[in-house]
Amino acid sequence: MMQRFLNPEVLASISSLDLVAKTVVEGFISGLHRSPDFGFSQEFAEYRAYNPGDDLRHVDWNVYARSEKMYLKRYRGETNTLVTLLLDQSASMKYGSHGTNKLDYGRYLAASLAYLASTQRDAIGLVVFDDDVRDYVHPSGRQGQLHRVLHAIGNAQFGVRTNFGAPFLHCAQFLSRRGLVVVISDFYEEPQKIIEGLAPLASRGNEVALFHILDPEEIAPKFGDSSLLVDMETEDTLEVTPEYARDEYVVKINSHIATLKSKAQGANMDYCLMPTNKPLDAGLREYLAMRKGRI
Amino acid sequence: MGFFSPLFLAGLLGVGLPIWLHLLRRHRAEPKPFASLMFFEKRTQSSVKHRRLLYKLLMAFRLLIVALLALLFAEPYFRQPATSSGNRLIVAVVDHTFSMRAGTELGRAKSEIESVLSKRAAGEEAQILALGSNVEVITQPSKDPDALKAAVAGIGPGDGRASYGDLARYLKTLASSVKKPLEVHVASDFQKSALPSGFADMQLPETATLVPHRVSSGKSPNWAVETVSAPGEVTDPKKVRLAATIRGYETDAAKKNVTLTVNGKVVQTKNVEIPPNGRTRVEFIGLEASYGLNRGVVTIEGSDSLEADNHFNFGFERSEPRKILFVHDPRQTRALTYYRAALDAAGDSPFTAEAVPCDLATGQTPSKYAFVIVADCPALPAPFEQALNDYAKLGGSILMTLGPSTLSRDKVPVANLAVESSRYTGREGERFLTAAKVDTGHPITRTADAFEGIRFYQAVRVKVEGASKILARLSDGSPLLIETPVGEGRVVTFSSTFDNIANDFPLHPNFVPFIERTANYMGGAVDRPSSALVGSAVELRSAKSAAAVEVNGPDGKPAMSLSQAAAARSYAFPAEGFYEIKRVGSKPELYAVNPDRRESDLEALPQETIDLWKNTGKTDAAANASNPEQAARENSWSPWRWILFLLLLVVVAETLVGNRYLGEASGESENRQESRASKEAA
Repeated sequence: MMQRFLNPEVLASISSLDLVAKTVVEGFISGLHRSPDFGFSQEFAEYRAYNPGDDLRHVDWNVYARSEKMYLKRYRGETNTLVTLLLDQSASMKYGSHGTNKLDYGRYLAASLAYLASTQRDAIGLVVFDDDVRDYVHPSGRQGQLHRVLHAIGNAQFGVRTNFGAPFLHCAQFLSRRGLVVVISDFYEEPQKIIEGLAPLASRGNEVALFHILDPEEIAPKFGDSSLLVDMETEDTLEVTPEYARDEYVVKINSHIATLKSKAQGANMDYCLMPTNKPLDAGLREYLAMRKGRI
Repeated sequence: MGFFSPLFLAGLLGVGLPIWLHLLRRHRAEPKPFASLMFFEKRTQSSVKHRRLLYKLLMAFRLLIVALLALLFAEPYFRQPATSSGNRLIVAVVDHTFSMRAGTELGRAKSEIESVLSKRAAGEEAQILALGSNVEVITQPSKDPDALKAAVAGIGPGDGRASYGDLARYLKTLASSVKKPLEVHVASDFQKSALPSGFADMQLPETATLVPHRVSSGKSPNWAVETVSAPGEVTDPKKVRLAATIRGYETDAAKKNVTLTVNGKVVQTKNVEIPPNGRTRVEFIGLEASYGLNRGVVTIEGSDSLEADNHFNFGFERSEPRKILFVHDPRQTRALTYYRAALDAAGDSPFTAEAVPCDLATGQTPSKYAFVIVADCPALPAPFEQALNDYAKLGGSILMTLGPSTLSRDKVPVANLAVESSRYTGREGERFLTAAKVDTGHPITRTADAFEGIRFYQAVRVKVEGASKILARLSDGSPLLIETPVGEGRVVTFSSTFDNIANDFPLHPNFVPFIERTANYMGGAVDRPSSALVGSAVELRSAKSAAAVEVNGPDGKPAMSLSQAAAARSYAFPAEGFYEIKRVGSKPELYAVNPDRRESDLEALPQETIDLWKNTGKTDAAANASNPEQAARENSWSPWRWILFLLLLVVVAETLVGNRYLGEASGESENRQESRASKEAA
């Protein structure tokens, strides 16, 4: 089966964030052949009797044909799932070796997830953070929530350093209901600290999904000569030989990724590595497939 | 150390270029932002260290190239230590030429040189030279003060003539052989007359420093007997005319007695008036001399600055006149008359003509005569003709004149030239012949005007063949004067006569010198000068001759050793006086030798000229003051060759290091590309 994935650089050429999200999600859905089992809250839960006023679209006509009784299919999502998106806007998210930097990629991802949740009438909220919470859109399922969230995503500016402690603790206080917490970040922190920082969110019964955004150059740097690197968050400088970047760095970053994934799974969190050169819809597909498998 | 072109040192600023290329451009690379340095560590690998070392080495080589180029163009030099005392040769030159006999100049010159020698540093080498007719090496370079002092003391007065050109040439030779700087001390009167014809001939070697020691004031009145004109051979002393020139140098008008002395006996004295700073001529007529060699002296009475030139020596030989056999047609006596008149007119001719008619010549013996003249004889007695043939073959000389009587013969006697015809011309208008082509290389016709203006009305045309040589031709191309070698002797044929009928030659002024030259040539008379100059040489023997030659000096003693007398081919007269040379089988010869009279002019060189001479050695360092850079070049050592060599080495090293550096860089680049390709493939 031929898949047509959306190149992030193509998405970058689309100025409107909602259009980007719609393009990703519609393409994604079309790629799934209209499967009825999709989405965050679309897991089948039970049947219930039809009551006047219910949406006839949810009537299970097969059952009606066999029993002449009208039953509605009930899904877990219909239990008012709350999707909260946490978008990292720290300075390190500015890095991009090609047309799309990590923050842009994160924006597209967050917008796509918001759109996807919106189509299922889930309440969506947004927290933009770096070393503290920089913007917050309270989760809501009301009309126009999607635009507010997209607007906030679009307004995300490069901040300073990342801190996975204070912002997450702060978020835990906002989230009064259980739901899905999606953290979009490059996670430049010790994996243990990251997991510990997310622990307050997970402890309230939230499902937590980590989207690890990395540039391909961060995964496999290609330096032609000894380079003087400047840390985009701390502004520290360091002269790095190409040999080191080629060998030891790659080992370390891969180890970091593996550790983070392992610890996330250990804490019952979803982990998904999203290189910025990876088509967004393909990434989403992988995530949802993984989620479905887990469920 | 200095620089000939210091402005080029500004090129050292060019070292900034490699610095800019290597360092500034390298560090101008902007720091590369990276998301996080969390997983990086500061570390450098050995290959990087090596590359950096190469990089710095490359930069160092490039800096060195720029610096060496700037240095090369700036022309650095090191001043050589100015003639260190241990590394120079003192050349002490004492002028002992004839002019140094004036006053006490020679003594002062020797004192000056002794003073120089006494002041030299211990262990310093010195060489003593004497400047005379030649540069005389008195000692080789020596450190022995006693030997040097003795050498100076031993220099006596000389009669030679100085030439500073000879001295400069010798110094050049010396400088090229000793390979060390020369300090040349010249003690001299610095006569102006000692200058060579070209000042360039006086150029000193570059390593020589001239220190002049002037020992005369340069202006001293002096009279001298400049020349004496006297015949070398005298036959009739009463007819001898002797002329002497008296010259004054820096003198006022004066009256002087001039005395002629022969063999120590005063012959004549004349009082002459000499103009201020000029010359006058004195003539003496008649000499009282005995047969054989005579020694004459012309002397000026009185004293002056240089008394040694107040007399002039001359020598002559008195002898009986030699006979010429004049064979002629008794019917025609005009030729004999003209010939004898010409011999008489030639002054003190050593020849006298003895006439014999053609038909009576049978009993004559040609070998008894200096030479034989056969003047237009119709026929010769056969015995006499045979005697003439024998005479010529044994080295005798015969002069033939051809006239109408000769036409009766087929051939010219002895010379065997075929008689072809007689050419007659009229006496009117331009109907006469003239001499056209004359061989001026022959002693008889050595002057081009020997036959100038002479009209020939009749000439006998002969056919010239074999070894005969035409000395002159008539205007119609027929031979006029022919020389034919016969055996050891020769026959000279004149195709006309001496009788004023066939031509007007006897009436012409050129006739007398022609007759004189012909007689001297045919009779073997040597036109020997009455005097010679000091330094001139006389030939003693030919290359093939091994006969001993004896030379007696002015003191009457042999002037040469036995070995020299047995082998020397020439002898140069070293001093003034009378020299007698005795050769085997010939009469003794007397040479009166006088110093070159240019030495009598005591005018000295101006100081400016001496200063100019001093600077000629500094090749146009000519002038240290006006061109200090050039002077510095002359006295300095430039390391440009070494710098150039070093530059070449550095360029080669830079090329090697550069190639290696670039090779490593490209190798790494290839490795990276390969690793990328492999990753992408994976």
